[in-house]
Amino acid sequence: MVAAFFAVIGLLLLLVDRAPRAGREKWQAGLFLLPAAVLLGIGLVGPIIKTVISSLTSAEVDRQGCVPIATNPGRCVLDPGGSWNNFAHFTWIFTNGDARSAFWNTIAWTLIAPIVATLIGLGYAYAIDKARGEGFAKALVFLPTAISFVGAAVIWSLMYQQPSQSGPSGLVNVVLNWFGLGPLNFPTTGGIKLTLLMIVVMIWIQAGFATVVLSAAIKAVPADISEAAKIDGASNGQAFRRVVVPNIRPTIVVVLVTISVATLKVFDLVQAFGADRYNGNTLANAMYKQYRDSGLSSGSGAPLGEHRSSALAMVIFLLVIPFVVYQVRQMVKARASN
Amino acid sequence: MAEVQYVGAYCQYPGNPTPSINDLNLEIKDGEFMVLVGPSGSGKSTALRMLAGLEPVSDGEILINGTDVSQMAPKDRDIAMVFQSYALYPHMSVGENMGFALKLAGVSKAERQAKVAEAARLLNLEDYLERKPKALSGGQRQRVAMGRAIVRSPAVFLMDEPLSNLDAKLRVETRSNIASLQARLGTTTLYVTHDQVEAMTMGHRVAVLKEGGWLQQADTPRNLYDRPANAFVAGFIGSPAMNLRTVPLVEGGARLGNIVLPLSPEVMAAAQRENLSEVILGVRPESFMASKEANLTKDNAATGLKIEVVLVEELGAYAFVYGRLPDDAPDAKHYVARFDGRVPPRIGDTVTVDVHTGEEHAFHPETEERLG
Amino acid sequence: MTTVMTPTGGAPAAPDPDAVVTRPKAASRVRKGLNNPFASVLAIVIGVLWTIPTMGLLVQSFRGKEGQDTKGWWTFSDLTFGNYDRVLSGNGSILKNVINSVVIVIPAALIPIAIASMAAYALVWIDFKGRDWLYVGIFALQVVPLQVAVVPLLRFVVQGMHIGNVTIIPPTGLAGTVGAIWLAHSCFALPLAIFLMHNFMSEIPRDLLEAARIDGASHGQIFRMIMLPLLRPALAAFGIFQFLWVWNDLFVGLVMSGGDPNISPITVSINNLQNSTSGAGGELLPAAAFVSIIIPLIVFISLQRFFVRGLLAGSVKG
Repeated sequence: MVAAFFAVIGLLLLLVDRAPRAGREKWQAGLFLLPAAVLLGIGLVGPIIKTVISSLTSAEVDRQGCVPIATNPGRCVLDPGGSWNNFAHFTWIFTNGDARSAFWNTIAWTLIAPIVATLIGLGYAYAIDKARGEGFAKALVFLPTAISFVGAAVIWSLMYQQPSQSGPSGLVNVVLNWFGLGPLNFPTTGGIKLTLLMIVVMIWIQAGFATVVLSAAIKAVPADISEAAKIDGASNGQAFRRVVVPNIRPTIVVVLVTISVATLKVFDLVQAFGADRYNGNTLANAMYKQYRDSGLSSGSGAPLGEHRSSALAMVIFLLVIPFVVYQVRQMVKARASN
Repeated sequence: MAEVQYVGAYCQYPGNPTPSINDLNLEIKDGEFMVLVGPSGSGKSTALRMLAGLEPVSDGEILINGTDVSQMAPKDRDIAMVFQSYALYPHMSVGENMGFALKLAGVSKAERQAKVAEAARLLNLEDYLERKPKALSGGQRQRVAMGRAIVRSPAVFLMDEPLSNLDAKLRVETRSNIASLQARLGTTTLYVTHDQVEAMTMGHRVAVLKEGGWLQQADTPRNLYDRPANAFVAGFIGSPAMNLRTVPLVEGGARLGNIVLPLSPEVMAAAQRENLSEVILGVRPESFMASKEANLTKDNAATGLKIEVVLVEELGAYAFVYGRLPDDAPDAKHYVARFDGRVPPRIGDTVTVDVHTGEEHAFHPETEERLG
Repeated sequence: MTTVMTPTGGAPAAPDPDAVVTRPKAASRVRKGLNNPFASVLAIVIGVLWTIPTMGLLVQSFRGKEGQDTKGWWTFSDLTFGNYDRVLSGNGSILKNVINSVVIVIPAALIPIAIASMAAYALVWIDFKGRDWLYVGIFALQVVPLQVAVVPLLRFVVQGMHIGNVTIIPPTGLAGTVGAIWLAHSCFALPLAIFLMHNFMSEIPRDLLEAARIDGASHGQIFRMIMLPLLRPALAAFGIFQFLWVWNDLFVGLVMSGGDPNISPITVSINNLQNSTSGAGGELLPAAAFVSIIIPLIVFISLQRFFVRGLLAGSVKG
């Protein structure tokens, strides 16, 4: 299959040079873009359109025991679905307890994880800047970036492990115990506390990214600027806060935005912790649950769960849009200044 | 062997209100070394790249040996080009760089190697054929870029400021190398530079372009200097630039500061025909000579042009004196005169100078065309 | 991690991408940092906090069921290789899923690289109308949540495309094969890959391309003989990126494989182990997780230079 794929690519490259003379550049551009266009079309653009439509239209309604239809014997369609339903799925999201808590959980994730991870990254990048063993120190924090969310979930389940008859306390509970604080009851505690504990893991993963990027930005600030500040009487810390940080602000914003977008889509971590059983769902997880429980449809309208999952996906999409707009504007600006 | 003609050629980018090159008519004879020179924004590189096929010819034609090539792909034009940045392929060795065009053209390996070896010998690159461009000095890279062009034995060489990335000393050396190489190969060459010294020393003929892509004059270096076709060329060629200022015509000549500068009968006749009351008068700094005795006595009654010295640039062999003429407004452009380096005046002095007869230039005040 | 790349544009020059990291000025700067006591404490605390969890897993993976069930890993009690023995061989071995992951990851990295570099070439070097808008549009797709796209893509794979009763594209036949997972990863990686390749490619001087055109090269030849060799570092950077992303992905693997253990990647089996309520074989989880972590970790550590380069290409103005 892979060989076939590369054969196709090779063929395209050959075709490119045999494009008709008239409007040749256009033909060639088209051929170069063709594979990407096909994949983007079936993989992203088409699905987006489909999701938008599905989130706004009614589900099919079927019932057991009436005159069977060919594709799904035993059931028959009462209403094929697919008609405009006045945001019913969205109304459902904000009235259904589970969906609503998934929404607020996602907001909590997005408000906390990016800011804390960026602050830690910034502080750490500053603390180790030009210190001996800087590379090693950076690698320590950067390593979790290479670890899957699933792996991270295993690691942190161990850290959070609840003392029980069958096993010992995790390290976090042991330390808490020293201070007379109770065990965390992870993940059964549920709700916002569970979400906060998972956000810690997200921060653990993302801080390395923030560190590496911000560290590069700090190094790109010309040394003479902060030297000038020091001659003007600033301490190291002051020079950093008042001179370096304002200079790398664009990069800080980029890091914030990047982690925010990643956080909005968080799925794997919650899934792997099994937090869906304890009200720890985010929008992405709620969406998956709706989809999984519904199965594929027989008619054009698809089962209710799939429509609802589309609506949940749309909510994620809408939340991401401000960041998209910001990123696109940045990019257009960067290209204009080139 | 080829001759090149631009016939009413325009280059206009879609979405741009004005063309970058306007109505360019220029003929480059077989074997000629033609230099395109002009300030930045004059479109000199654009003109060259139109010939290369890298910029569109939106109107008019470009002919190579009588064939219109303006809509052909670069590779079908039988040209080779040396870029300002040299544009060597960083992942190929010197030999591969030089042989790349031949390889694409399907030339056999043996023939390719022979041609590359020959060009390498010509350019003293034989010892470097296996190296990557990264491992070469600036001068060597420049030679590889030349070699890449030579290997193809094209009809026309195009060179786009090929020396501007070299340091001053190497540039002078390479300048003469390129000129003699061109003479030896006899290949028609179009060479773009912003450096008028390069233009004057290398070109058989020099074409001067003005901002906005207008050709001003194409002539031998001597003629450009001695008989500039208009005020722009007069001001562009020569360093420091020719003194140009609009002055009133009076009986017997033009009034400049405290003197009346006699103009040639042809100029006077032309001015009369045009019914002019003033002209743009141009005098090169070296066309002045100090009126010695007046200078020594600082005698205000002397007959020469008085200049109040504001700045003196001493260059050893001679000194350039920048100053104000009597009655000049404080912000008037300084007048420049060349003095003998051994007896330069000092700032604040008033010096008196005479103009070599026949070395003045006069231009129409509106059209700026040469008079006479 | 899909969106680690961000829009500020300017990638460091492809041939010398380390320029950003090591500005000449930096070397001349005075050493400080750890001389500042607050900074040192902060650095050490964060460094330790970030290392302990992984350490814990590593130690735990070498402990027997008995030890795991009674004492914390920091006691280093009951050390054994038994878990790894069972994880890598015999019944309940995850080796099959590791192989699945490898089978998934390599094409899922190569396909988007090939497609994206072609698209980026057209977007950077071929002039056509609407080129810039097309690029901005593709870039914007980068932030589409996978969740929006995965289910419809799966439907497409399973059912083909129909409008009404008319079949536009018949079912692909990829349903239930790794092909479906490759397809999904390739599609989702494209916006980022095109963005990255576009950044790197625009750093290549235009002169080089023009020289090649004058030397007689066509677009296809320029792409093959000039661009691809010059872009090797960029290809590597994206390749590692995509490798890590695909290897670590759970969502796409879970949905597209339909949970079929014959094609599902290692993450899915770890997830199943983790969430299995029966508790049997739970002592194998740390070892299995560590096996799944160690491969990307090795790739990551040995090729970190390229990875950081890719990261910075998207985030820091060059």
